[in-house]
Amino acid sequence: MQIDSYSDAEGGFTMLEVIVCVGLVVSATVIALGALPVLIRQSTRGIVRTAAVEVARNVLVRAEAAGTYLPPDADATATTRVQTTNNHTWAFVPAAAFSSAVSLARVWCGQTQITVNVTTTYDASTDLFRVNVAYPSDPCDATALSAQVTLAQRYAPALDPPGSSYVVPIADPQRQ
Amino acid sequence: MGWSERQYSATEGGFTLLEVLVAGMLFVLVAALALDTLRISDTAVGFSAMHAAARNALSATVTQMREDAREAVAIEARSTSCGAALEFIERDAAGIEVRTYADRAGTIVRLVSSGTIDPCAQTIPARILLSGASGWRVAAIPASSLPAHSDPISGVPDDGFLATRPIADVAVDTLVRDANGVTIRGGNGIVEVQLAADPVTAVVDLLRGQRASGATEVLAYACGGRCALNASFPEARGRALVGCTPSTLFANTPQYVVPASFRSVSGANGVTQTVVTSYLVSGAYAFAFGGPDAFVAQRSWPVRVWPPNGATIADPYPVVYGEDALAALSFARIAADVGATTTFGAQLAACAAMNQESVYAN
Repeated sequence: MQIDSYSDAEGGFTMLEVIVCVGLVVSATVIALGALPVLIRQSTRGIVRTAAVEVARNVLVRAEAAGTYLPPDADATATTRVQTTNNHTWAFVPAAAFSSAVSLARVWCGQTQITVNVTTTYDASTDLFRVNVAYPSDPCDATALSAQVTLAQRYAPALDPPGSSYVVPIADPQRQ
Repeated sequence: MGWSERQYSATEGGFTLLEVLVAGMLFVLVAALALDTLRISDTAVGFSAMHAAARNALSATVTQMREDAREAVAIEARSTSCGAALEFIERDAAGIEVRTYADRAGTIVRLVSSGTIDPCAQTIPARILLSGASGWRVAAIPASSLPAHSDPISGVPDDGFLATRPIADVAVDTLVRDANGVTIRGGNGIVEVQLAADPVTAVVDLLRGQRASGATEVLAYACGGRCALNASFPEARGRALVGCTPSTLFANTPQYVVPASFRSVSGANGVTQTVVTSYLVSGAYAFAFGGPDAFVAQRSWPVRVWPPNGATIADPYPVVYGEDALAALSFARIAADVGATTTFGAQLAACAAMNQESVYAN
């Protein structure tokens, strides 16, 4: 059987050419359609990342609030008080882990609330408080916390609350 | 009809029915696909644009809040007729400026004024930050409540990074008063803003106020070689102490007090008096020293016969006879009665001098 799949002197396209062409168009369309949700998810990823950064910032703010003032009962004497306020060991634990949540609206996949994992570390030697938030890179697959953001802050030494008083041991005048 | 056959006629012109049908089907298929693609593309582009616009507006609002928080001496959560309002109080050489955030029927607005205003009044011009907000909450959280803080979205505790020590609430006077003359105070609490919008609910924690300090130092002297306490309280030597408080122990114990012998007599004017016959009396007393090296110095007076010479006198002390105990009118009187004036007086003087700190000024 001889297959004469292209035109000769008369010109025009054969059936096979047309079918192949249409097949290519359909394939390209399908690929394009399949990519659109991915693009939308990409835009949602930015939203989740922004929310994760805010979660981390909020932890830093709460840590700052808790570590601003040394409680009067934390250390009553000036000598040890100075040492105590050299860092924030009195306020922060070395390591902690807890969860937070991000509430989304009108996400492509219908996901409304996703959980993010928060871990904090505090290094007394450098007085550095660090917070890490692990969040899903794909908000439609909230179980895979594959992306993360880390913020760190070194806080100023703790202050004495206005109106508080504490003891300053000084030597006998005879010894001064 | 095989593939080797011509699909159209070269000599007769026109298309066969099959060709027209196939071409029509292909056209319909491609047109349908194209339309669907356009529809989905339009939806997707609109969705992305909506997300981007909403995200930008929300992000700009949150950024503006944090910037205002950095410049504020205090942040207040206030109730208004249109819900909660968030106030940032700024103060500089030019005076006071209040930046107020409020929810006007789903539109988050920001107002700048020289004092506290009603942000709900539509007549007051405001800058629109965000439209289409579906929720707006502002809550002041004291620092002492931070160890019990929970995530506002999930309700799960998120305070694990804080040590267990209680956190002191500190109020800082901002020297700013609101419209009602009430002093606005900053401090170490936070204000938590929850802004439900498209496409995400933003939670923003803001530190309420400035870092002001104002502690009082209480000097504690370490008693050295010429310390006036040395003579009366040798155990105070080398200790860092603050203040001295004398106290007595007049419990009726055989060690210190012998029960009084007393009786009632009628006076000339008909008034009944309690008289005390001489008995052995003593007492214990203590000086409590505060400070880093706090301690209590306990002393007792020597046992004496009192009143002297077996006399019978009207009881000068408010005696609790039911408990066979004496309650002293004063340290000095007891000391004088038991003949310990010199020793006790020196101890009292050293204690008082320490409280006045003048003894250390030599």
